[in-house]
Amino acid sequence: MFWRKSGVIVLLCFLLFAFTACSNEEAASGGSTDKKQKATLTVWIHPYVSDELKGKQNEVFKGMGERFKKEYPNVTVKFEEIPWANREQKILTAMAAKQGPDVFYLIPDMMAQFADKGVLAPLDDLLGDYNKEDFDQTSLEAVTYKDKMYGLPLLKEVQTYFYNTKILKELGGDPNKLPQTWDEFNTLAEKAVKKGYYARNYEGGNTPNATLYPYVWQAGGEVITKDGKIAINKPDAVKGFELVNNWYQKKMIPKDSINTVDHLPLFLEGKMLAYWGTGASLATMKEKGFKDYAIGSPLKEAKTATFGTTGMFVVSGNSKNKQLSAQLVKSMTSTESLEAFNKLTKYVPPRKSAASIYDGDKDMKILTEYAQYAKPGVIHPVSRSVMPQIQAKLQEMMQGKKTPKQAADGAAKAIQAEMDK
Amino acid sequence: MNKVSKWTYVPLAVFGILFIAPFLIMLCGSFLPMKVPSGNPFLWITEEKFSLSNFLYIVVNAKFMKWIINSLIITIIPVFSQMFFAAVLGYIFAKKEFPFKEVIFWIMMAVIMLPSQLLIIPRYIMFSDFGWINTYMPLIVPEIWGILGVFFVRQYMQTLPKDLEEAAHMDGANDFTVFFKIMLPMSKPVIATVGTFAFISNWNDLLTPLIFTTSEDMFPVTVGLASLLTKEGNFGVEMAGSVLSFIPTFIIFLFFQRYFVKGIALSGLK
Amino acid sequence: MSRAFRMKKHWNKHAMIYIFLVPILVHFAIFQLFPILFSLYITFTDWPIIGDPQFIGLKNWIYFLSDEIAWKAIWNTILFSLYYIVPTMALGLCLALLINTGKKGTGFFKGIFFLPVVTSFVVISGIWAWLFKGTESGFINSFLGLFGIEPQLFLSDSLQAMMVLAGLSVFKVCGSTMIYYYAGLQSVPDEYYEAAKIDGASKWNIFWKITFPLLMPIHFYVAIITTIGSFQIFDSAFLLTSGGPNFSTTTIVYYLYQEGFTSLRLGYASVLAYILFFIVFGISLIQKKVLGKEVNYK
Repeated sequence: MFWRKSGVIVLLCFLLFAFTACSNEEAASGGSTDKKQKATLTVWIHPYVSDELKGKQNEVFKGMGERFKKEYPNVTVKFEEIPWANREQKILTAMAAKQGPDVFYLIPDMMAQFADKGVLAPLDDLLGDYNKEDFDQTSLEAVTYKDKMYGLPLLKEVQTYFYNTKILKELGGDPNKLPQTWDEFNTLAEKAVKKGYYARNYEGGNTPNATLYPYVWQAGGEVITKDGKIAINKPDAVKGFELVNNWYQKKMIPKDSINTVDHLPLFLEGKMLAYWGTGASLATMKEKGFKDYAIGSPLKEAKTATFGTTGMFVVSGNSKNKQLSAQLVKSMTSTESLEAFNKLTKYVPPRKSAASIYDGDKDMKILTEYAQYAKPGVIHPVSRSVMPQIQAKLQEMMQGKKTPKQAADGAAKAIQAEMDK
Repeated sequence: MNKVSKWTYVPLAVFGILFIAPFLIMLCGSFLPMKVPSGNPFLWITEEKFSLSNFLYIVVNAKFMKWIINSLIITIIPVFSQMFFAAVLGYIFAKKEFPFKEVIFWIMMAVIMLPSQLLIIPRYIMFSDFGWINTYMPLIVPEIWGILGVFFVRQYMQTLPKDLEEAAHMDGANDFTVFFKIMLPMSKPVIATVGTFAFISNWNDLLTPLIFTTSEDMFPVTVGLASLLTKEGNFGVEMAGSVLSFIPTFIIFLFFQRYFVKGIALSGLK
Repeated sequence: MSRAFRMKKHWNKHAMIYIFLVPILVHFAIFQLFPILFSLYITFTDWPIIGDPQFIGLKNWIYFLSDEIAWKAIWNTILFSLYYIVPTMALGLCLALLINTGKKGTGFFKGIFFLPVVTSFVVISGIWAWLFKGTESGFINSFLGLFGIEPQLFLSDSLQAMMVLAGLSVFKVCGSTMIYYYAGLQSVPDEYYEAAKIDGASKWNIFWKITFPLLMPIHFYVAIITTIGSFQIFDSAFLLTSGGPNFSTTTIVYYLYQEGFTSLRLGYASVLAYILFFIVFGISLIQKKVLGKEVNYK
């Protein structure tokens, strides 16, 4: 009896092995764009706005769905909201299980990682006419990887300085003549520390896109060059490390900068001279009734530069309706869609024809202007996976265990190791 | 040991306060419509900030109720099936004779000595192929029985006197009758223990659902609450969520605490 | 006829086994045994989440030997268990002694001490994060401020972060060690105490000379349970620190999770899972050797 049983077990194991070893079917491809066809398309979106505005965001997406339905009456578009945290894992997990969305949202460095794995559908031949000239050039570059287009831009973000004008005046600064260079800012920062304020925020728990790369670029350095060479420990780039280290050691940024993720409350409470943030931070300030602010330049050392991602919609390589999904992406990034979306989320619309939503909005005009300096991150397949390591090197530097140069060398080594994997 | 002075109450009270304080902070914080409150949490309520807005927000906006339902589904089903299988298998291993009985039992027992994380990756690959990702299946199917519960019931039933069942067998009762009429009623406490353990471990599990659920609609309350924590923190909302997700555990705790304690006493410890 | 009769008799005798045990054995094979063997196979492959796996022999295992972060994760986990095991056992024993006095109301206190055990990590982590905020306004920091101690970074400090996580685990788990010890104390026969009292031994002596040694099996059992538990710590590292700062709270399981489900290297993550298994297994063996002396009350 036992032998019969154990035989069953062995057999089962074998069957399972066979089952797991050979179940990689080819995903069905393509599909036509007959206007009458029936299909359900799933789109994964994220909370682009604070919780209070969630209802409005749902309306914007509902509007996009309806716009598409006018063109394709038999297609249902389902929007599912996914939290930001661990979204890469969530998307890949779903795709591996042959589920997942037809269309989802990515940012350029993730797009490079995904495209490199071959899980995205290139859109060049699927889109047809999407009024290409209307998109600004930098945003089109951001959705392109190895000469193939993988998405269409939905939003542009830009990081820059917001100053607390009350504190600024107290330190003898002038809201109409805000710092333009590192030196000017650091002079103000030292005054702020003397008066018992923090000079700026520093959310070390966030990715280096916000905490290191902008300063590397401003110093004229690069993280990984266009032809894939590591440059993060070249003298120019090390200046970025030195700048951060200087802020921390001189107490210009709070002590918990090492790995905190949110300093905005400190700025809103009036304990901080400047806040390095985005249009989203601005929206929160307005919501909280914080009025004494002025928007300044992202600063320059060798050149003016900042980080600003380009959010895009891409089509999954798993999608059974790639052509239709591409048309949906096109519709969701039309002038009308971009106007509705960016008006609510306070991002910079990547189409010139949608820029008019900020006519009369002084703040957004300024941000739109700075958007031209915004780089979309480091476009390389390893750029996402090395982030935790680079974060760790920065933390070691701030704790005083490593000099800026050593931290930069360590980061270079980590990138190299990741490339070799 | 009967002449203990009143002084025992002093350390008891101190520890008691320390252990209950976090829960009170959670409760006070949940009524406080603020992102990052500071100061003395016990004065929050007395000030005029008391409001139910966090709870309203959670029930209306976050998918909290959906998460609670998911958690209930992936908890209740395993709880009942684990109780049932623990009872049946405990009976079989305690009272029935068949070849290799001991070997099979101890192989099963040996497997629970393995860290459960060892199973996550192979199961992940298997379940991907089954098309189970982002369904309830990976959270329910592996959990329908547990060897620990079987062990508990077996231990207990081995201590029951033989004459009862033998008498029943004499009267021509079959196994099922003996099991349902005699063994099951006598083992109620230990089966309740199995259920309690199963409830707590499934309700509180984080890693498994973190890996097997991908969309917000499928989250159990642990993963959902974790996503609230990692988002831009709103303390009041977090605490309101914590309170809501804590209520079921607290109810189970109130009613079944003694079984928990019994279970630990039963688990073969002298 | 007689054969049919025998079959029927056999069926009657063993019906339960066929109906319940056999399906469970099949389930056991599919969901327990097979994955264990399968995961060993995975360690020899490069198994991406999407695409075809490739057999790469021992490459993952060799990579592990030179992987600094993996060794750091092991060290972090050991550090965590140092911070966690003894305090949990000691505090559990203290609480057990307190409720074992049998005074009025001890049952109520037993409930309070046990409450964190049934509470999920997610709930307690939220409170913990707020308590141990690394700024002046943090609750614990304000409290320390009363004594003139300057604000600590807690979760933002690579030395303190692990201690804060260990503290959370002690708070969460010592209720259950208390129950183990309480059960043990209850089963110590009264004659021992009577005899000691007649000899005029002090309470202190009674505890160290009688109670403590008699609890040996419990010590052993609790030590095993807490040690094995401590090597599987994940939730708080995931929720409170994401393994940082500077990987100082990256535990073995957290690193496994990162490698498997963020970096998408399932093959290497399986190696880490096996390393965890070896460590846990080794600890069980060592503890059996050191503490495995049975104590007889007779």
